[in-house]
Amino acid sequence: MEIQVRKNILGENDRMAAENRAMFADNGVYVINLMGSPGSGKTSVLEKTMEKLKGELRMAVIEGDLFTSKDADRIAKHDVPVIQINTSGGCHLDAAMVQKVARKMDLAALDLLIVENVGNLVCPAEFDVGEDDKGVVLSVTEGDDKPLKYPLIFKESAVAILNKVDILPYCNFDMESAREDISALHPGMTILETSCTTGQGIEPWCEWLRQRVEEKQNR
Amino acid sequence: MCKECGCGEMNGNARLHFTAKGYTETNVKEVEKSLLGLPGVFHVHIHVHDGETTVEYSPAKTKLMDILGALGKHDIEASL
Amino acid sequence: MHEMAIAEGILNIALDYAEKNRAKKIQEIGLLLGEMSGVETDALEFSFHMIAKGTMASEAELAIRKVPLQGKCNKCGKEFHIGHYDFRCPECKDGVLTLLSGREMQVEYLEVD
Repeated sequence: MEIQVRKNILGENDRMAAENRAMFADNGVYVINLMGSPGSGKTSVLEKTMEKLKGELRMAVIEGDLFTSKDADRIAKHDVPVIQINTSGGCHLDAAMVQKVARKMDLAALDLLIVENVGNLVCPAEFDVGEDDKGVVLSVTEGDDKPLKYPLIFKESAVAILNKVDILPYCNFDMESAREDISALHPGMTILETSCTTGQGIEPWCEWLRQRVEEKQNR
Repeated sequence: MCKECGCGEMNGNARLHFTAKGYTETNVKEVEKSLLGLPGVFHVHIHVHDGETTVEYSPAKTKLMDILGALGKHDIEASL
Repeated sequence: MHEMAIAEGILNIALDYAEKNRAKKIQEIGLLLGEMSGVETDALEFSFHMIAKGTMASEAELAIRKVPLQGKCNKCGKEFHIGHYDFRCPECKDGVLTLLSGREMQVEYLEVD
């Protein structure tokens, strides 16, 4: 007996994310979806990354914000191709938004594509945009209780960047406790401590990226 | 999951609320850690003195059996 | 790697429809897969058969109908097959191809007992 089904296998966002994934894989680009609160330092970390990896890896950035192109402008100063997505109120980037922009890029000419998501510790974690890895930036001014309060984003990410460590002496941030909580939520997750002011931790972060790019290209 | 703005999975998470025997001041932290380390578990709260346990998790990512299994490994007996 | 998520989606739909129709065993699952999804059929079949063990679909064959990625230029109106996800028109300088087909990802039918 034949049963007519005609049902889509994946939800709309997952389907488009699968398409993005295939598109990136076909072009050998490693993609990281970088998330974090507004003001955690995502763009600053990216600026430091551009400085260090320029000339070594061919990079591009997709910026996500509700309004303005302020972040894209900052990245553009480093001579790295960047496209700004404005969600006009949307709290996260989704696969359709990323696809629309990625289709306009010369992906074959890239090693590394960084998607800087909208500042938000909640919603972006729910939406696959076709990335290889998710990453979360948490700054020490935000409180060491945040990992347990926002478990999903830490469980979903391959790397946690604990940022602004140069002002740790002035914050109530218990680094050991935060690391313990993050490890409890996501055993084995890579945790890096960084400061964009002093440059601490930027090299280990870039080394992590280099390795992921190499792994992707060898697949 | 995003109840604020309505985005994400609507039918997402489950909440388990039960009493369990076997918690001690020494093992409770380890048990919490074991549960929290399961991919779909978002929140764990244990009252050592009366064994009252709350686990919030995504059944799509972690099965009830896995949660019971993790408890079992620490010799915790749950009455569900 | 994402073939596993797709295999799970297929299995859930197949078992759901089979149960609703009181079927005993699923013999064949008809799939429509557009080229855009980049699904590797070998990996998909492997993943599917692994997770279907012990279910009504344990011996089901996946009958896959592939749909090529076709686009139409918004400037010259010509139709082309899109290779390597390059959506630029091969003929016009700044023409962009809009998709005609190749995005399908669905379970079309089930053959059951």
